[in-house]
Amino acid sequence: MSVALRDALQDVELQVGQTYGVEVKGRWIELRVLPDRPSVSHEEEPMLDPWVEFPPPLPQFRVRAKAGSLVPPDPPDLPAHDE
Amino acid sequence: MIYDLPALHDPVDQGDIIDGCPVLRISQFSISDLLRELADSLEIEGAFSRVVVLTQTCDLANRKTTVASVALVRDAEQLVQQGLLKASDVRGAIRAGRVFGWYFLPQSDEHGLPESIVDLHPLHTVRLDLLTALCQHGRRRARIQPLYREHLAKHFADTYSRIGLPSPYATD
Repeated sequence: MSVALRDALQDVELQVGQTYGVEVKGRWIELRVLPDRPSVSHEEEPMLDPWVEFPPPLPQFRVRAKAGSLVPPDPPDLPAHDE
Repeated sequence: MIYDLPALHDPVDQGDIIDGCPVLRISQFSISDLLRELADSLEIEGAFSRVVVLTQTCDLANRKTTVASVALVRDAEQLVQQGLLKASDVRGAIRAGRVFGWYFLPQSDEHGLPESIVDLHPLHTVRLDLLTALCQHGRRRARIQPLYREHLAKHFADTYSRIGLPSPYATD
């Protein structure tokens, strides 16, 4: 809850367990008064995409490339009945 | 505890945190050379880095593979000092596992590990015999224990299996 909203509600008589509704600037606001602070589960919060790309580590060496050949892939481990 | 330290000659396993792994990247190239498949202008730079092994135990067991996938383990405090992250990001969303591709690892004085972030975006393929040699020469810092390493593996899988829509669906 923002500080402004908390301040606005400071002097309002609110009963635990009650739900209040009010229209403000054309929008319908519902306010529930809970007996305890609800537990916040991070699992329920949305996942975020990273907002920055970490730079690579500072280079400690540089080499010139040489042409080579591709290494063959590791052979898959197939069950006997699939062979 | 989240970490333990295997014996020197234990084989490399998923979740091993290994120091001194050469991590390479192409730093210079010429498109005209590339189109002719010439390597002359390719310059590779690298750094000896702390990495974590991502390849699954089942693939590493019985040496079914000769290479392993690793990701860089970055010092969280350094990233904060570089202005890339805020300390509150590290303590909040990243530690809670809510940022795709960044996985928080807690500090361990016993293993000499600061609070770290596994960066799952750039991945690297490293020869398994190289990692094995590093481990046998004492460069394995720790191993992330089961459950925690599966938690990391799940985050890794989620990062690469997510499907982002161009824009969220409109709601009434």
